[in-house]
Amino acid sequence: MKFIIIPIIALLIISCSEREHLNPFDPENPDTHGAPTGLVIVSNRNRIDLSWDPMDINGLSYYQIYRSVDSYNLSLHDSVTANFTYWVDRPVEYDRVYRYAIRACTVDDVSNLSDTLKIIPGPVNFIIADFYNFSVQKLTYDGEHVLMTNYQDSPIAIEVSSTLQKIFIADYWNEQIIISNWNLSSINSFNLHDRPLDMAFDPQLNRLYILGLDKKQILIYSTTGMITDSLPAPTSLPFGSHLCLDPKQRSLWISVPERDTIFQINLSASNRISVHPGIHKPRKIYAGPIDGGCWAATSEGIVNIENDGSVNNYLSEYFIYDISINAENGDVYYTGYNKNTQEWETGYLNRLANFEPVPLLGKETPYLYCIRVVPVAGQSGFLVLQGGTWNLLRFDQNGNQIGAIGQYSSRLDIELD
Amino acid sequence: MKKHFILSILIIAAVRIEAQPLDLKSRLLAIPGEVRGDSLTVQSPNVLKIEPAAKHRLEITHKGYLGFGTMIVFGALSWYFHQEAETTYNLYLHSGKFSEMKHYFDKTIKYDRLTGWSYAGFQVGFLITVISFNR
Repeated sequence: MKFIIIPIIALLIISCSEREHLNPFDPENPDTHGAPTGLVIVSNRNRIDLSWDPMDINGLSYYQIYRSVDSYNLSLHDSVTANFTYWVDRPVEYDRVYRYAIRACTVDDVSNLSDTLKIIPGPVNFIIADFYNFSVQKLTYDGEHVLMTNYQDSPIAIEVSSTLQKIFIADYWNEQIIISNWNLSSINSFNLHDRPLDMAFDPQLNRLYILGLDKKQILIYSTTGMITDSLPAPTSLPFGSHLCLDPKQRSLWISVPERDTIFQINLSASNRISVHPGIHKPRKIYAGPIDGGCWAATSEGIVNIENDGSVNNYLSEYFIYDISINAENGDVYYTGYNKNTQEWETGYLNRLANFEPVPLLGKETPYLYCIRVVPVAGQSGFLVLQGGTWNLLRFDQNGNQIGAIGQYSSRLDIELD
Repeated sequence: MKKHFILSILIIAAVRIEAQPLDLKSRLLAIPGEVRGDSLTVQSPNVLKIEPAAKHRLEITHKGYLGFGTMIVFGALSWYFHQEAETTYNLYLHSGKFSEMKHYFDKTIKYDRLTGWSYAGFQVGFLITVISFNR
């Protein structure tokens, strides 16, 4: 008898089923809680776009849009018919906190409010070339929302031309430059026959300067992909070498960390090369937007090489991981590690106060390896890459975090459009 | 249902039907020594004659009919309630009115419960059917 009863009991057990509340409009639905889902929000300068998942229910008439500005109190702002699952808010004001939620309405009832999403619109977007994640991404001004993503094999450097509305992406393994439009869609490309390490854009002459690894050269291309010249690099170039262009003094600067040296190529003086040795492990370098010259993040502080060749050193007790210069006022933002106190610090050198350091973030925000400042007059907000979490953190000008997004790799190039 | 049917077939197939043994050993001993083992010169052809086994009649008892009938009735009920439950659940899934939604969901639960009980009845019928073979 056991032979028969056991399978019968088993059959009875497996034949039991439980119904779930899966109607998206049902407040007891464990996934939706009876509210619209899939709300996505992005800003692009003075417009904010909302989109959400459609609700497949009978009698759905419209969606209500709730909004608040610089407050948590949402109020009914607009409504769209049930055929639409997107809505655009414009014009919106920069640097104000907008919050949105939506509600679905049928002929008989109204749903719960969706999750509330926050966004801060601003005058620029961030473009991130992530070498090890094979992607180029455009992030919103508040650094919390992805506007668009395009995948590339090995994007090692990017440059942006606002006047041409084009993005130039240097692809390391494919040895080419990819030209994209503002939506990150590739529109053209040209081959370099050399692996690019870094790239600089000259907005005056519309030229690209590309540091070539294999043939130790600097390739000069027009923005249409025509090679105009090539210069031999003054030394062999390791993977960590960087390049920048000083358009004011018409100089190219090259950092070579293995040689503790920065080279200057004066383009207006028959490509005369000046050597600046004794600079410890120079990393990223940038041209001074106001006074010209070169700024470098080094293992012994921030180094400024002026046009006459004089060298100034700031925060020499710091291992500086990265710097970024506010193009509007020349302030030098940095992120580094104080070797004496063994604490991390992020701040800026105030140009108007003789480059006096102003700390903004302390040891509570450690392992910041990469920084990009938003160019505005006065104190500025910035985007930083945090090691460990590998998130990009967005801080306002007072050092308050306003956004975060993940995850990224350790080799990023960040530009603004 | 399909699973259940297959299981029934398997159980029925497992009921042993006994056959008479051929008693080949004693017949072989009866063969004369000089021809034993020589298959080409078998002189007694009746030795290897296969006798048919006695037929074992599979009788269906009253209990068997009762079990089978119960299976049919409760199986049909189970299928019907299941269909009803699916229909009302689909109505629930697309309803945009809370009161209607609750009504359909409760109805679905009720039909599901009825499906379960009918299925239990079907199982009882199946059990009776199987026991009816056990004589």
